Amino acid sequence: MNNNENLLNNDLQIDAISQTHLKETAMWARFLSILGIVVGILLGIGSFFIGALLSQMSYPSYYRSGAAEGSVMVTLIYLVLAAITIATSLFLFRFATKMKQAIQSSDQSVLNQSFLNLKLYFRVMGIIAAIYVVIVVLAMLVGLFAVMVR
Amino acid sequence: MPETQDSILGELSENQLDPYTRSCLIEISKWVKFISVIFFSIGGIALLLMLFNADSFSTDDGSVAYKAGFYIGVIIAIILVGGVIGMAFYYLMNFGTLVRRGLSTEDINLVNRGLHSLKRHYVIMGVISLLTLLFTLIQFF
Repeated sequence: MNNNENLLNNDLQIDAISQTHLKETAMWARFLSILGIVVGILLGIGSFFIGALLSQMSYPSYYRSGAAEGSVMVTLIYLVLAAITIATSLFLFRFATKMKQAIQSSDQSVLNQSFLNLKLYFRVMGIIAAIYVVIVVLAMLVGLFAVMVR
Repeated sequence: MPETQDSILGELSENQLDPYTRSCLIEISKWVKFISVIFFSIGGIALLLMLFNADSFSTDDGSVAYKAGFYIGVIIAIILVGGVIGMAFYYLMNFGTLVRRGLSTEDINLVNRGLHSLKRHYVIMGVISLLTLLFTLIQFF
């Protein structure tokens, strides 16, 4: 507790070295975020094409009944992925833009907003990583169960 | 950096790591450590499974030499790419550790080293993205 108070209470001045690192970090983060937004938009557009393509493919008769639902599901999954990519990239973009502004104008509130966006970015990435681990563990358990049953 | 330029940059900066920024950095450091640990765990397990599961790379042409060469090539490629991405995540973890330690000891040098690690993480990820973009564009044309 005392350690946490110490972490929050004192003010450290951002010096020239910190500024240089933050400026370069912001530059690369901006590039990555723009790339992420473009990829997210392409993924969103592509989701409709992939759905349509899957629904038009020829399947064996026993699969055909679920083909339409399957293509809708694939479209939805791609749309969710696109939304997540765009949302996280937007957080990163805001971090980069506001960091640049904060360094140029020495505005403390803009600097706070910048770090807030970086925090949100890593929080979302952390939650996604946790969900991914849960899915991997579940898949392994299901696989193990299938092997045992066979 | 010359001393005069250094001092000018120093004077320009009135930004501080105030309590709000600190709380953000502390939460960021927790999340980046969590993300890095997950990356190293899953990456390590995947690499181990791949190293001990050579049969999954076997080909149908029956050539033992071809199979071995193909398998070794794939392993080398995975280790190279995994190593570079692993380095990026090592820097991310380093950023979290150093910034938190810097804030608890009031040491701006440690915070700076942490920020330097964050910069390296983004540089590596940026270069990887650039190369991926380049190879994707080459495939199109």
